[in-house]
Amino acid sequence: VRVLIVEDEAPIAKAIRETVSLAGHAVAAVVPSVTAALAFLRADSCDAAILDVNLRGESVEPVAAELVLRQIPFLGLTGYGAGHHPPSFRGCVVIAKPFDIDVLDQALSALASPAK
Amino acid sequence: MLNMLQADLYDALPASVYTVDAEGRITSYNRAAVDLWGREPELNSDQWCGSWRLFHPDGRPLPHDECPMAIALKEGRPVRGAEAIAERPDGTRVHFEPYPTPVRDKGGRVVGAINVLVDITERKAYERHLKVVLGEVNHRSKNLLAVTKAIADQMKGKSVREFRNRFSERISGLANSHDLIVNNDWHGVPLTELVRSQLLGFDEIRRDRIRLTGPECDILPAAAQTLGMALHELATNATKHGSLSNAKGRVAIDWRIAPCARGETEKRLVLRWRERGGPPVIGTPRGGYGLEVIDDFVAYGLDAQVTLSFKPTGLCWQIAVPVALVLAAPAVGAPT
Repeated sequence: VRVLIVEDEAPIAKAIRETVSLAGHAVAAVVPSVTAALAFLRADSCDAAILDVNLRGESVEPVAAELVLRQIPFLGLTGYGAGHHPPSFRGCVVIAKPFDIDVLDQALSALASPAK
Repeated sequence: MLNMLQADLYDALPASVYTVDAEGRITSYNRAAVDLWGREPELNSDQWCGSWRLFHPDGRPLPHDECPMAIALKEGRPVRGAEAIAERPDGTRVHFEPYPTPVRDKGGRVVGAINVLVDITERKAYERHLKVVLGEVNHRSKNLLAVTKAIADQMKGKSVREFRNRFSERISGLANSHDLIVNNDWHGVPLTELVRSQLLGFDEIRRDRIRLTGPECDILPAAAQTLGMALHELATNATKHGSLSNAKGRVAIDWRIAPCARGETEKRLVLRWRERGGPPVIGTPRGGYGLEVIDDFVAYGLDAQVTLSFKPTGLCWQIAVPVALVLAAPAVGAPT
């Protein structure tokens, strides 16, 4: 499973990358912004994605909408409390920050298994 | 009912006031009440409240005969702590607090009631704003905790004592940046202050050995955090191994706004940290966490071009960051 990681904070992005790799998945790309994520999706694809809900003050919504359109499963990471998810995250797993690496690992496995 | 002087006073009162008889029919109202309702009710005919339409604070329609004034009359008691929304005929809405109070005759019989309506629309808007701000603070704190947690997870291969010292210093560095971000209302942090905040402790002793040169400019909050972390690592390294580890070394920190490079559409903030006069630098250090912060993290988080060189004369670090990602406002003022 190739996973796209969209997270603007470098230390967190690195932690996610390591979790994804340790879980035995391939990292398709790690990008810090909506623009970079959309550019990646135009040129390439992935089997799953992990999205920080808020990137440099802008909503990750356009990326989520694109993933919904392509039927690529994704999960969200948020510093906002539960119930603050943008519409495209309806029915998605949204993990609260700061997150436990095991929680992310499990959510990722759940995300990857029904697709494959 | 009122004599002329009383009527003038009634209208001059900067609070919305009206009265009703025992059946709730409006018997008088003042100018301020008309302003709040957006209409003139019909005397001795309109009942309970002169408003066009009423709603509960949660948006449900509120029938006039169930409004606080109706309750005060029907139950013969003052109603306090209620809130309602009145819609004017022109569609605008006003959020208000009513203070309906029954009036009794000498025998104790309810003969009518008086009501004061206090417009709390502005206060409600402010409360909503505050709620948004608190949500934002929550989000940012959680993010900061996630960053802190990631830092702790990634500081590998250290003894417990070394881990504790370094981790504690890094948290202090983050806290210093965060103080500046909050003190500047999350708008922008003056770059000079950001640099100084990360030199705290070194600055006092070695003030004449650290030179800051550059135009005053404000750094965006997210960028201030990333940049602050990098400056902290550089300062720590300089004190331990670099030009601030002996008695005569120097650090020159300078920055400028560079014009667009060829093939680019945006100006960049170019910031340099150059060390001189420290112990000779031998070779290039192996990758450690600090190195990762000043190189990979800055490149990733700020779309920066990072140039890092370990010349024998001292470490030299240069970053070029697109201004849109780093500057809160165009740089103004003369070099400091």
